[in-house]
Amino acid sequence: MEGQASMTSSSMRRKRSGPGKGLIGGQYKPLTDEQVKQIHKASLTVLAQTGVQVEEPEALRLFKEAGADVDGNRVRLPQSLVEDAVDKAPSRVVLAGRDPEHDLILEGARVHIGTGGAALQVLDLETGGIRKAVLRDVADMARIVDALGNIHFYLIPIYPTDLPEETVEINKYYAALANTTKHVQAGVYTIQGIRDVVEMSERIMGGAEPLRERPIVSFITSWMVSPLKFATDVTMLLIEICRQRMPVVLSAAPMAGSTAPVTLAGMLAQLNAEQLAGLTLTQLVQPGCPVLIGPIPATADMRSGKYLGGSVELGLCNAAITQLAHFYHVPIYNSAGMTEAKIPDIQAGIEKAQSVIQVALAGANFIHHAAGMLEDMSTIAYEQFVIDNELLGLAMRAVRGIEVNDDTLALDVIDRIGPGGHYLMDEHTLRYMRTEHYYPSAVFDRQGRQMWEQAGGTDAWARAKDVARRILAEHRPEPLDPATDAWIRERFASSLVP
Amino acid sequence: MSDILKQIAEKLYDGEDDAVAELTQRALDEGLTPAEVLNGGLLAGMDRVGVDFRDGELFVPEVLIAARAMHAGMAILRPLLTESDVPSAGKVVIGTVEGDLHDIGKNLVGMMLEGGGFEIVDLGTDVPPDRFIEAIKMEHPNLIGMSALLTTTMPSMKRTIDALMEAGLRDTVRVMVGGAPVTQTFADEIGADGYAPDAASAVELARSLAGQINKSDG
Repeated sequence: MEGQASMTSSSMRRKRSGPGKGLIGGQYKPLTDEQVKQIHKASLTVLAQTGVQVEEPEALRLFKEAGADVDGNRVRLPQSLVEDAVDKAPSRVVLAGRDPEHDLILEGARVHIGTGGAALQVLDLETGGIRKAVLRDVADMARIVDALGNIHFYLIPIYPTDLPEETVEINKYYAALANTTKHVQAGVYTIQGIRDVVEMSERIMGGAEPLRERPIVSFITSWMVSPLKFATDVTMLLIEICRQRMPVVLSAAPMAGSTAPVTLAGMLAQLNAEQLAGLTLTQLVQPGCPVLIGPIPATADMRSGKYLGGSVELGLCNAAITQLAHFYHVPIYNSAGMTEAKIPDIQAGIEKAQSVIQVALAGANFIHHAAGMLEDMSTIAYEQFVIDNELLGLAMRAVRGIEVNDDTLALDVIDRIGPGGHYLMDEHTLRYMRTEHYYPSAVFDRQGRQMWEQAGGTDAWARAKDVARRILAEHRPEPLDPATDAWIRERFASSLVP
Repeated sequence: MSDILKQIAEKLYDGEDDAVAELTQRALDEGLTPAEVLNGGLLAGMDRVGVDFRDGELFVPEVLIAARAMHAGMAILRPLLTESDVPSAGKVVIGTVEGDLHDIGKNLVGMMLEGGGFEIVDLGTDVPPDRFIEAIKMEHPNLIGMSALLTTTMPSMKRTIDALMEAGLRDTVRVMVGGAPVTQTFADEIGADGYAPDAASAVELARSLAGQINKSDG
């Protein structure tokens, strides 16, 4: 019919969107305020009494000059030095997307959730078998994430195994930036790699300062080998990134029972001490440089010694350590959504849900590992992004909480409808129904059995595969500006895969 | 299609009953025939509602207010339309069965059927078999629809169908059943003609059952 165009615009107005990013969490507090202070004090004691091991000469020099007690490579930090660093570290860090719509403002208890990892394996979407992760996956997964509304950033979740080591950084960041307009973060391995990625990103943003104002990339440094030992090579990278005034993550992932005390409180005290030591170094290198603390408390399986990403203690402790970040007013990167399951099965669903909901409700600012991962940090599955997108959406709805005011209490509506009536056609229902309740996509089946059977009687896994295939076939993210793209290809011609 | 018909369809889609009534009157004043206004405006809008509802874009309340807007337009057109112009999908007697007071599902089906062009006679809740029989004798419906929420009241559906047979009325109507605990298997067991799992499919089922009746009548 002729009216179709304007009809479509009418129905477009009704289009549902997700609950959104940056909602305020913090409702869930596994620690009391008193317990937070106890852990804080314990961490200060660890730093003053036990100290950290530092071999990297520049870090050692900076700690010594600042007044730390340096005994060989053992560095003990006085409380005042740590407190000074906490004061200097910004309480607000912006991680931008190429599209400003995707900018993330990390502060307070604002919650953002996305991908994570550096997995070497991919669960192949077509064969269902395991294969090596390759550069093409970085681009394809970026497109998947670009298309899924409840995933707020793209932390490159795989390590491409088909490239010479020295060209991995520029290639993976380029493939990611070209295929999503969301913020891109990844681990880095060389000083040159960091410089290349910064140079490319400055070009995209139109200069050094525009990139510092809206950094479209950030870097993860796994600078800490728990317990309490700085990794020398990575500490050098950390110092370089701070000097570049680019956002950096202090990632540390001890396991209670093997690389941290088996007791959760002991692990939190040690991990928090590690984070404070790292934070202190960053603020000695470059006061005010944008840093995210990155504590990822987990447990070891004491039956095998294996890392456990899906344990309930991971969810619990990542929520607890978020309270410490709020106590210090520094943005936090941490983890939820891991599982020991090898395929998107019931175990995967339960393990992911428990940690994502705990950590999101705790108000963590940058929750990674939360989409696409299987088998701890080992394997990525395309359809798992699609499934997890649903989990993240409902978790964010929980974070949004319950709005209580005169209009939502609806006393006039209750009175208007009266006993025995119904609310289906009331203006109040129409006004709120799309925003008050979260609607998952058709990946989650809500039909009656008959309709479900008629539609093929599939499970969520099969439906998610179809969605992933459709996105890969159809989704075209906003490309890089052609002139910029040509410049990048020319500038990094010797490294970039054609 | 004229601009005003397009506007009627749009306002109907948005569920604005006052606007639909006003525009319907204006369209007639401008010289359009009642049948043109009905087909090009009201029914065109309602068709679009049906499509978007099936696609999950429109929610139940939006379909209901669109149907209300349709009624607002029809109130003006009906006296002017000849018998053959008026689309009547059929007449349905509905009720929640004996022992059961739950009516939101039954009401929803009733409203959706009305939106789909059916004439509804609602017997309310806790309706015993003889009240269904009485209504069939008085109203001569094409269909009856029985609803139950409680597993304990589902047997009332069978008792009602049995009573229809005893009264010699079973062949005059098609019987559809629904409600949370009801299944296709149960519907088959008690000798109902159809089961629908939700209000939207109830409309499709009613259309198909009414079609059978018209065929057997013809």
